[in-house]
Amino acid sequence: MDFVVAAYALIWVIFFAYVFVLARRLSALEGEVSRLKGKQ
Amino acid sequence: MERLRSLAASATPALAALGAVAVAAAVWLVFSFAPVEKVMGAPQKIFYFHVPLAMLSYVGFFITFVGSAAYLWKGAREMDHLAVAGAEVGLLCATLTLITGMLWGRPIWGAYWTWDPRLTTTFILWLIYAAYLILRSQVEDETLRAKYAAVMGVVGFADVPLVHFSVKLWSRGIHPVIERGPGDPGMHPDMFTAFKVSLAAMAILFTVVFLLRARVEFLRAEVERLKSARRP
Repeated sequence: MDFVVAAYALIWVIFFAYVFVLARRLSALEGEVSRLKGKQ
Repeated sequence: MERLRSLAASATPALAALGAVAVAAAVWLVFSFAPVEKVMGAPQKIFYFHVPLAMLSYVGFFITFVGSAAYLWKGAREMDHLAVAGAEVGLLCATLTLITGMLWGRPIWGAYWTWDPRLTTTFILWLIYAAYLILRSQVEDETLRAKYAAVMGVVGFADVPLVHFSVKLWSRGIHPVIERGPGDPGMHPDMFTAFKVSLAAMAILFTVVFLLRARVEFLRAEVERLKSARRP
């Protein structure tokens, strides 16, 4: 059962880590776009 | 394309909520509803997420294949954005497939890894798409980067059917195969229900992550466009 718990835990840890990285990239890019549009 | 992008952006939160509910239902079905498999025991529970992740990695790489072919044919930059999003999310799924496969293999085979044809071709597939993303990060010129990556996205997809049919092409493998027949899912009906719900849940989450990743790529291109418009 330890392997099952480890598999399910790793799936969600890696998945949410990726979503977190994506969210950070998105928010940085959205900020950059509005900054550049504001300067135009 | 602009209308599709705004539709995708507005649908993402609802899809994410639906995905969370579907995952909760899938986990409940896997641990409380589906019976324990007689031969493998508890480790077989990994199957319910391992197989959908493998299938979704194929979907991601197929998106890369289609996006790359469309880019080479039409030269539309949007297709390149979809291709890279498909590759990255497909690679995430392939990584999770390999990890869950190793954790399933250890208690059943007694080893985390064997050079079985299915495992070997899956590892090669992982390397191909990791190389695809490394290639993209190394080429500075945007047009060249898209062109090189598109060629790799088309050629690299040739490994997907090899992975899928490896258990039939090389009969000496030890990777388990589900023997399905007409009207026979090849497993207990309650296991099949849990599998279908897990597959649907993971497909919804795959869609959410793919849409987010594609949005990153479209925004990155917009930043580049705005920066070049400001240059004298």
